[in-house]
Amino acid sequence: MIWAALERNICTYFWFLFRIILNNVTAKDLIPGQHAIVSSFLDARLATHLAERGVVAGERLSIERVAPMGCPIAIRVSDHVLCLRKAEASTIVVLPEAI
Amino acid sequence: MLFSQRLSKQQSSLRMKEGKETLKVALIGNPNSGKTSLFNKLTGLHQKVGNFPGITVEKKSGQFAIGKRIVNLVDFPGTYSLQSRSMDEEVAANAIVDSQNPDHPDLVLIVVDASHLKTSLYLALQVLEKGIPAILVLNMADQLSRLTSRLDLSILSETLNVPVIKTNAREGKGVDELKQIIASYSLEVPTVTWNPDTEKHQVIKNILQKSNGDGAVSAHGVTKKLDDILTHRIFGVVFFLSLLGLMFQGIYSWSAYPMELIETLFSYGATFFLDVLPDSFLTRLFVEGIWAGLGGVVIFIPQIAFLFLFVALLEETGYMARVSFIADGWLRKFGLQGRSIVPLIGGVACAVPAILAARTISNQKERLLTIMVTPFMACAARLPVYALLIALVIPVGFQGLALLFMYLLGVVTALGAAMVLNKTIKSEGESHFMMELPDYKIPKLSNVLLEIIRKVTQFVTSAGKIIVLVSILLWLGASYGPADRFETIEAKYAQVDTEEGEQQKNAELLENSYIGILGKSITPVIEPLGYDWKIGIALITSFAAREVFVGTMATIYSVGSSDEDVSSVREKMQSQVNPQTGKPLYDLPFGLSLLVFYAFAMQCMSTLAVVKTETGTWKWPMIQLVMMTGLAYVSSLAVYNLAALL
Repeated sequence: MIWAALERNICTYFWFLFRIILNNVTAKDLIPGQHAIVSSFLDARLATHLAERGVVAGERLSIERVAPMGCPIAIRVSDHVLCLRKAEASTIVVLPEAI
Repeated sequence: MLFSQRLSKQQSSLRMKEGKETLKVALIGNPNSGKTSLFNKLTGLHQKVGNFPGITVEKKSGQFAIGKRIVNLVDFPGTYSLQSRSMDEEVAANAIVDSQNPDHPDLVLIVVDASHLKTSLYLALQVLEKGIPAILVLNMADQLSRLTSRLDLSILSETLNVPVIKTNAREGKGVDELKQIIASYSLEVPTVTWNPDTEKHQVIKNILQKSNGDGAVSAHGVTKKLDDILTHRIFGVVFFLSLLGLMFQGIYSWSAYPMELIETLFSYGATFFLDVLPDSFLTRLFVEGIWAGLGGVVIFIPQIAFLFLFVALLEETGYMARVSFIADGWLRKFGLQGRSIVPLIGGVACAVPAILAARTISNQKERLLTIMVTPFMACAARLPVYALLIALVIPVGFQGLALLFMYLLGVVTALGAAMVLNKTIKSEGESHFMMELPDYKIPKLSNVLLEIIRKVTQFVTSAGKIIVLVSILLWLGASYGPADRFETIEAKYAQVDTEEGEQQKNAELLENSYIGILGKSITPVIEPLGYDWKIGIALITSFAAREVFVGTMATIYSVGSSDEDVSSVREKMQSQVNPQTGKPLYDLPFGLSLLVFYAFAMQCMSTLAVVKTETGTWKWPMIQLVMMTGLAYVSSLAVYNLAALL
């Protein structure tokens, strides 16, 4: 709770909270180290391919690291580390575990 | 009824040969599951590489005999599912689903990474649901003895209804046991014990719970610590750039020694054959056409070997995935991918091995774009041409700068062309970027060597044929011409015995050869660029390799045939005077125009041959030829006229 508030300024923090209520936070919005539970997918075709790689609703994921250019991002999920571009990460709707 | 049908289908697909039955076996698994290591261990050197029919997806196949069976093993490209996404993945899906497919296997070895059971069983379940005899291979077993000691293989085998075996393909452990299972396997279609309509992840969860394989967390500790450094925004990038530098050094400098050796051997060979064989057309065809053409193929082998030593090491260690991770942010803006950096840097030495290295890019569109733009990079064969032209027209203080500019021009054009092509070429299938960051591994030398051998043989047997053929055609065109003209020249120099006379004779012969005539006939087309017929001839002979330009100019100006004699060619060209203006013939506008032409034009038949074999059709090399040469023409025209105005 505290570290997240420090990482983001207070406005962003409330904006983030608001988006969680709207079920509007995606894997793209998480910061390294943050954990979240996958809740749904915005792109059905992509969802199939993500499922093949162990990304399914109910699965826990965390942001492992971000590339030097800010994209792609590496996500630890299921039993491996998966790299996604931001465009793909933004189709995974998540529920952050701690904010 | 159903059973007997299945049985007859199986028996018909088994072929008997010398009392042994031939079995088609497929290796299917996720990328990084250790499939290829297992393939290498099972087949050893009894393997070959080709393409799957009609497409350019690499097909590794091999053979081994065990018991009463001869096994034809095919290593399919790594895939996560049978719901195909890319061309690579489609191959495996088609072969398994369609029993009429020539690659439809009698038995599937499903290779799963033992440390990633949860993810990789997804594909295993899909394969088993297709009703095909299978063996589940838990690979890299000893890396995770902690996990596998708890995992109950017999329960896993019972639940899935297929034999389960632990292997460590890199160490060769479990490979013999696997062969024994293949030898005695009944080839019954396993019954599916789970409801295929249930969510597969739920099925996997249940299976892993029953067999004590759940909750297994792989030992990522070392990988994580290494990645903290190797993908760091400063250290990671520095390490990455140094590695690229080392790779470049390898293909640019180190491979120069074996290349020199090959050149020497081939020229000794040529002298030897010319001495021994009678002087006839056949001898000349053999020595100057075929033998020289072979030399032109073999000369690429050191660079290909060096580049693939690096590529295979990067793949083996798992660093290649990090290359994508680090460089993707920069290159995706141009429609390329992180891995495109390896072909692009390789292209500064030579486009031929570089284009072969584009195989590591799994997305077909990104791979195609990389292949299309790599020849823009200023390759080593352009360097002698640049050196000659820069020394000819650029003032002394600016020569180094001009050379640097030519290299930058190559990079900028390659990226710009990728951007344009990205907008024009329609993508077949989706372009998503989903890639696993595998655990780091210590590279296995045998795997690296086998990969190098595969690449070299593939190059020699595919593109090599085209290169030899075109070399022969170019030689014929440059050495022969209309009989009456050649006879006149022979008669004219019949009495001349000096070296100078010999050189003048060679110049006249080249001028009147078929290529010389062709070169002269294109003069109206290239005149607006500031070139005369001599340059026209050199442009055509450059098609063998760009550096041939220098040798051709030397022959035309009869200053000795040795290619190394750059300075005498330069002096000769410098002293040429335009008869109409009285000023130097080869002036600044001419030099700049030709520099730009050599930077952009597609003048390398070896590259075209490789692009043809790598894309599977003549369509892409032809587009490349037109696109690059068209760009070269327009740019040279603009540069020549602008420079002439100043």
